[in-house]
Amino acid sequence: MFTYVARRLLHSIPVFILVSLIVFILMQYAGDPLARLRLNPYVTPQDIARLEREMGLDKPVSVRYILWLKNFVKGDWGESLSHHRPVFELIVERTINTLQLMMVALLFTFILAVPIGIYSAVRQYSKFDYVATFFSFLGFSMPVFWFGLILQMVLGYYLMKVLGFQLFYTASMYSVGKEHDIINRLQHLALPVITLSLAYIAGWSRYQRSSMLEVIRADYLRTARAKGLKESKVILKHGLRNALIPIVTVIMLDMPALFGGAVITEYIFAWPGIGRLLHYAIINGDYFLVMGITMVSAFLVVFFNLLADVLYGFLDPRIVYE
Amino acid sequence: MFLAGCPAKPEEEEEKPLVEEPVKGGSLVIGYDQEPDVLNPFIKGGDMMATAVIVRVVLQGLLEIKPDLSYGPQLAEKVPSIEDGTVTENPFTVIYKIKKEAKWSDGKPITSDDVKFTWETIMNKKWNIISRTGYDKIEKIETPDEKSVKIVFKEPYAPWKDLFGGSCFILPKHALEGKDFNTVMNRAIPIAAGPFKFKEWKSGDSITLVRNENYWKDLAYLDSVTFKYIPETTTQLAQFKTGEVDFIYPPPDVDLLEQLKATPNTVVNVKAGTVWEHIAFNNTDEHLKDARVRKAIAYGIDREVIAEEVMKGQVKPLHSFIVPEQAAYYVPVWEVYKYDPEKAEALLKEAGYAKGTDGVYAKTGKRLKLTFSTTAGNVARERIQQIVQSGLKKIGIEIEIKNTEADAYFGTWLPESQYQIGLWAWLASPDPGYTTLFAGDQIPDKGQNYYRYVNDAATKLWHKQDVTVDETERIKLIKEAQTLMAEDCPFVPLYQRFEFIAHTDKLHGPVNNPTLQGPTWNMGEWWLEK
Repeated sequence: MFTYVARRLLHSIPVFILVSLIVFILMQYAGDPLARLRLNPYVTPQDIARLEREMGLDKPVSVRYILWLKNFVKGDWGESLSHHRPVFELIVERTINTLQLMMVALLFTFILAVPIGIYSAVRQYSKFDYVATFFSFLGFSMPVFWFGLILQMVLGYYLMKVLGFQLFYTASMYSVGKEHDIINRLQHLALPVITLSLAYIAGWSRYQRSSMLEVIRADYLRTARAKGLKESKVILKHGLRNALIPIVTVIMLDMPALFGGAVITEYIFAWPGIGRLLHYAIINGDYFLVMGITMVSAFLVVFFNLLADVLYGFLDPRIVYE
Repeated sequence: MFLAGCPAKPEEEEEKPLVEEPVKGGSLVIGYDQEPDVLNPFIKGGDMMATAVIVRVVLQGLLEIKPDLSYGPQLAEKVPSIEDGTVTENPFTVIYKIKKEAKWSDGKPITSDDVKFTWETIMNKKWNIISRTGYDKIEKIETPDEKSVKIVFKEPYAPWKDLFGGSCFILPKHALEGKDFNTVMNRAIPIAAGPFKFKEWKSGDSITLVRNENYWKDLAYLDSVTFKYIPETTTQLAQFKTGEVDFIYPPPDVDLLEQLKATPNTVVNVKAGTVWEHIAFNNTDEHLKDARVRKAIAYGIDREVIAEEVMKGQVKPLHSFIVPEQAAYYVPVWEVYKYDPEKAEALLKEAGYAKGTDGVYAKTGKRLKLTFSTTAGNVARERIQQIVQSGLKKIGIEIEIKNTEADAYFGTWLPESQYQIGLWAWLASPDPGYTTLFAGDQIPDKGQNYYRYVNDAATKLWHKQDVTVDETERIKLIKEAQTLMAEDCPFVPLYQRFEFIAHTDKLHGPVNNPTLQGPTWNMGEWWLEK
């Protein structure tokens, strides 16, 4: 097991290098860190040239890449060009906020999606199944941007008018001065969590339904029933454990999003997370920051893929890694 | 200056303070779309409006810019002038007296040493200062006593008022000396000179200021002001409607403005802004190097229609590269270019063009077909392009629209003059010394004369006004330059973008200041009804 994990990690090193190289080159065509200054009639072209020199932007891409890579490997992630702060510090600060949002959203999704999927499969073609199917397609096709803004107006503004007090807040993490008020934070979390979860619930419940349907028809379930086990035990113990393998893969592949956040949701709900940080970094050509975030994302993708493979071993004793 | 928008409400606002006395207390939440990169306004990243609206009420300059774009004293006792001998020529010297009572929030007096330290900091090569323009013209700064500053220049410098005032702030020497200026003021402003002090910055979320209890003038009414960063304008509207924010200063958008005006208990204040759009010509192009062709296009563009259609009547056409708020300098010289298709065609004929069978003018076999470029994805600009395209078609000029991303447009197309007709905006500054934009020797990469416009007489005027300290004389020169340039028509000014603020009617005091500093300039006087 240990050698397997070690080998997989070693194999991923070329992947990281390739990812970093591609992103670095792409960033040269993204935003320009001096764009705003170029429009300012009081900043002369000489000033622009001097600032480019001070920021090291006058060096060729290849030189800058090798310099970045060398420092990165040594643990120096560089300083953000726009925020003038260490990249690592910024990433940690924003990751904490993103994790709060994503963990609640994914937990909420898991709690809803798995039972919906199981129930839909067990009662295939029932009214519940049709309703669930309808809503999951709706969830799949709903544009996040539009849905989030509608929630703000309907559950934020109009609900407030009806109730006479504000149940759900429309944006940001907490009200001014109410940082440590848990209730206030939950009231702020509700709308972005609903927005984010909608598409995930739709996806995960469909996976759960189809993998459950497959298992239900398996011979070993018939055997279990023949032994005289209760139906609930048949489904939840023998069926569910096998039906979880595919959804574990899906969940693990979605896990890097825990870190990456959701750019659009964070943007609409003014959530100070990593997605918004990345968006701002890209449009401003802040390549140190973009590289830092990308490398963490790449690592997480590799890591969770590996974790999914390892988890199969626990869920299905037939899978053994040598 | 014109004030469009909600006529009933601002009046009501003027009446109210007569009945009600300002009250102390309350916290204000301002929704703002952009978060500052850094709080230090001098170094790279500190040139954002988001930085200015905060620094403006925490730090102060010797002079400040008033809503009418004139300069008034802030830390200085008065604006120096030739009349009272505080401005002298040969060598050009300016003498400021700092107000006796002026002090920092820690109780230490604001002194002439602070002014000198500010200049030394700006000139220090170690720091990533955005621009040292003007400060590099200073020979030395003398500090005869604690409150007197004598600034001696190497040569006359006309926009001297903008140094140490306007968009510059005096730095506290005792708090910053010996520290790394590239980092020390990025995340916090250690000491205040203005009505508010910096309290905290929650990255990505908000910045909070609190009252400076040690302020040397009348204390601010508000206990605290929080800037909440909400990038999406529609979200800002929702936040405003639910009362989660009390004040917004969103990017100008006609639909948003309409919705805000329909929101009860709201004061909306619309104003012509500092950003002005214009249609630019590449003056070295084979067709456009002829002033008659440029003028023909100017006559063929209906600027009234553009202002009406694109900005839904919120703005009027602009008739110069100086905005009307710069009243002393402004001459509406482009007013002559009223929409007149017949005159346009007459000018083309005069320039030797003849109409072809396809309805397009041509000269020596070359059809008058021009490309028109701007930043892709800007809805207002693309609408302007369509209006211009169909308008010019009527007078026999074919326009091909060819746009690119803003980065490429400002980074390559304009500096290298890869365009025939262009469309972009400039920021009007309180000082009208636009030498780098219009003088003939300022073609990139010397300056930002993207028009490649060369008129020796105008160039001379621009350089002369740069060193003319006498205000009346300088006004004369800039007015002359406007007249000359309108005659050449190297570009056509279109309009000033409007800007607006909206706030709850419980808040009193905001006056939208159309300078580079934004609407917070008098925040110390704002108060909230209980």
